Amino acid sequence: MAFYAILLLAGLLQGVMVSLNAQLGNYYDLFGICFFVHGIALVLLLVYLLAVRRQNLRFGGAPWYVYCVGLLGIGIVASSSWCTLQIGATAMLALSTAGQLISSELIDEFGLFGMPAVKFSPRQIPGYLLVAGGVALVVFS
Amino acid sequence: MIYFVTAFLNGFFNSVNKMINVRAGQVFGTAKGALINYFEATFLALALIFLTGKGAELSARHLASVPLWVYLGGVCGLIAMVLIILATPRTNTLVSSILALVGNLGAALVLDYFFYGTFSWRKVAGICLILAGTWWMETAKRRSKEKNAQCDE
Repeated sequence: MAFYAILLLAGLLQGVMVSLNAQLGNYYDLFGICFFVHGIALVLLLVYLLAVRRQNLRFGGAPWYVYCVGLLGIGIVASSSWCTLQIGATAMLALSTAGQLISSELIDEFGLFGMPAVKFSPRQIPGYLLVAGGVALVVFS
Repeated sequence: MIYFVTAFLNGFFNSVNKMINVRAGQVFGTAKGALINYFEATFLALALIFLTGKGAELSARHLASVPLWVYLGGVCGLIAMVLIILATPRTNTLVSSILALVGNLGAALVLDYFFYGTFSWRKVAGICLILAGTWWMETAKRRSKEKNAQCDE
C-alpha cells in the first residue's frame, strides 16, 4: 500500500513540475527553461553519483539512439512549457496522455526498442473512445 | 490549434523518450542513464540560448530578479523519477500507471486554478473518462499479453 502512495506522490510531483516549468516561462525563453530544468537536475544527480555512489562516469557501448536522448528531452520540456502557458496544465497533460497512449500502442504493435510485440486488440477500442471523450471534455470546457 | 497538436506530439514523443531512458538505464544503470539525458540537454540548451541571442537571460541581474520557487520544477521531476524507480517494480503495472495519471492530472487541475483561476466540473469529468479509458485499455492489453504467453507455451 505504501508503494502505491509513493507512486501517487510521484504523479503529483510530475504535475507540479509541468506547472512550475511553465511559470519559468514568465522569466525565461524556451531554451532558458530547458537549461534550468535540466541543469538543476544534472547538478543534483552528479552530486549523488560522485559523492554518494562514488561511480565512474564512463558512457560507452549503448545503441546510437541512447545518445540522442537529450535532444528529445529539450523538445519535450520546451513544448510542454510553451503549451501549458497557452492552454493550461490540465489540457496540456490530457492531450499529452492521448499522445502517449498512441505511441505506446505503436511501440507495442511493432515491438520497437527491443520490447516484445503485443498486437492491437479490438477490445481496446472502447478504452480509446473513453479517452478521446475525456480529452475533448478537458480541452473544450 | 497549434498548441493542441504540439501537446499531443509532446506525449507521443514522451513515450519514445521513456523507452530510450529505459534502454539507457539497462546499459548504464538508472541514475547514470538519466544523467546522459540531463547532461546533453543542459549543454544543448545553453548553446541554443546564446545562438538565439538570449544570453542576457543568464546575467546576474536577471537571475536575481527571478523568485527561487519557480526553479523547483526540475527538483520535483528528479524526486518523481526516483520515487517511480523505487515503487514501480513493487506494484501492479496497471494500478501504478493509473495512480501516476491521477497524480499528474489532479495536480494540474489544482495548479491551473492556482495560477490561472480556471476550474470546471467538466474538466473533472473529462479526467475521470481518461482514467476509465486508460484502465480499460491496459486491462485489454494485459489479457492480450496473457493470451500470447499461453500460445507461446
